[in-house]
Formats: sequence, structure tokens, C-alpha cells
Amino acid sequence: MNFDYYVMILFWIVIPIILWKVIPRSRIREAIAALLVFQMLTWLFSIGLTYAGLLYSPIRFFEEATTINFTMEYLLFPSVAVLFYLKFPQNANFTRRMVHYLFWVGVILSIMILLGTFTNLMVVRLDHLIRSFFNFLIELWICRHYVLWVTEQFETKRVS
Amino acid sequence: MNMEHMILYIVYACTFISLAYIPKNKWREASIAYFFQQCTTWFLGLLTVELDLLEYPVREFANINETSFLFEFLFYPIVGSFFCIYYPRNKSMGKKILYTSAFCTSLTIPEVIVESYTNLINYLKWEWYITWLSLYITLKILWIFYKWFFQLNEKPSPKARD
Repeated sequence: MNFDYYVMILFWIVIPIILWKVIPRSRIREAIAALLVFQMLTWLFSIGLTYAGLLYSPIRFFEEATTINFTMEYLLFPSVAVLFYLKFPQNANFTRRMVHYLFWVGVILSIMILLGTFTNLMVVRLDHLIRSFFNFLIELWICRHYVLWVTEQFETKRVS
Repeated sequence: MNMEHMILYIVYACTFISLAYIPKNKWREASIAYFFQQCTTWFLGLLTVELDLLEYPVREFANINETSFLFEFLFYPIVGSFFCIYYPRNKSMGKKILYTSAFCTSLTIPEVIVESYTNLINYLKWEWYITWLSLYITLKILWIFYKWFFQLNEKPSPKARD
């Protein structure tokens, strides 16, 4: 077993622990909603991009069953989206919100660059990064608005 | 267009049409059930194919994944949504078991027919009752999650909710 597999196994151990530590118990439903919807988005985007030949992952789990990197799309990116959502400055002005979006997209792109440089989990080129920048911006936007919509009733329950 | 593609097309169409039957005030509940079920099927679907338990010779995105995109991304999660929306929450235990079993049976029978007569799915190391059982377990897990997420009370109460 080589380095790449160790990295993936490390993700599967470390990320759930981080999520467990970071998510406040009062917001666990929002966090789960964000995680689930982002999984759907990454699934859809990764299938579309791989189908178009724009995404490629040499080392992955379920090697026979899929050419998508399951660890990234199922665990890593959705977890970043959860953090993005939990830290979102709800009442801040437009610029502050924009910076928040850019910061978390930057986090995702940095992870991609690191993985592309030091492991074989992803092939990362400049055009991948440019596309991913816009893809993740859109995905984070959809994710946040979905969670706001779906948890609306909890808010009204709490107020009343 | 051969038989397999025709079936896929019809199931896609019916799945989209079925969305019209989700009540307007239940879209939130339905979507959470949908996403949760996707999360389960994505993982389990890959696992069954990777372990050579099942194969889907005719499928969409054939080069990318060897699982059935239609079943795992769309069809079964939407079935899960309907399952949760119409779950007989305040009825007796027997009715609940009957309700879940009805879902499992009405999904297993078509699958067995499709398995025997078409190339959409082949059982390698699999049996119909494993399908039935896995459906039952995943639906049950979905319901437990759903009940927790929406803080539903399952015991029949004098004050009816909603």
C-alpha cells in the first residue's frame, strides 16, 4: 500500500473527528443538511466532469466500480462545505459575505493543489482550478440557500 | 432503441412525473429524505459492484461508474421520499411493518423480472431476498434519521400534529 492510500485513510479517520468536534450540537441538523446536499452536488458535478473528460483521479477507492474519487466527493468536499456553512456570517454586509465565499473556495482549491502536487489522488492543472473555482462557488451557493430553506421551519418553531 | 434503453427511459420519465405527487408543503421533508437516501445508496451501490455481487451490463455513464445511476441517484432516493412522507407514523407496529414490507416487495418483484429478462442488472452473488432485506434495512434507517431530523413523535397522541 502506498502513500496515496494512507492519505485517503487518514481523511476517513481525521475528517469525521474534526466534524464531530466542530459542529455545535444545536446546529447539527443544519450541518447534516449541508453535508447531504453537497454530496449530491459533488456527485452530479464529478460525474458530469469525468464524463466530459475534465476530471481524472488515478488513485481511488472502489477502483473497479467508479472512476470518481469517492473519498474527495463523498467526504472531503462536503465536509469543507459544512464548515463553510457553519462559519457563514449571516448578518454581515455583501463584501464580507463575498470574502467568505472566496475564502472557502480558496480552501478547497488549496487542498486540490496540495493533493495534485504531493499525491496521485487527483490530476490538477490550471484549467481544473479555474473550472473548480466557479463550480465550487456555485455549489456552495446552492448548498447554503438549500440549507436556509430547509431549516426555515426550525427557526419559526424556535421563535414561536 | 432496445428493450433495456426503453425501460431506462420509461423509469426516468415516471420518476420525474412522480415528483408532481409530492405535496407542496412536503418538499422540505421529501428533499432531506432524498439526499439521505442518496448518501446511503452511493456508498452501498459502489460496494456491491466493487465486491462483484451485482453487475449492471447496460447502464448510463458506463465508463465512469459500474453502478446504476438511475436507480441510485434518482429512483430509489425518490422512493425513499415517498416512503417517509406517507409513513403511517401514528398507526400500530403491524401496520408499519406491513407498510415497509409493501415498499420492499413492490421494488423487489420488478427487479427480479428485470434481472431474468433483460441485461439491466445481473445477480452474480446475490439473491432476491438480499435485495428485499437491504431495501428494508435502508428504508428503516432512513425513517429513523427522518424522524430524528424533523423531531417527529411516533406515539399516537390525542393532539394530532400538523
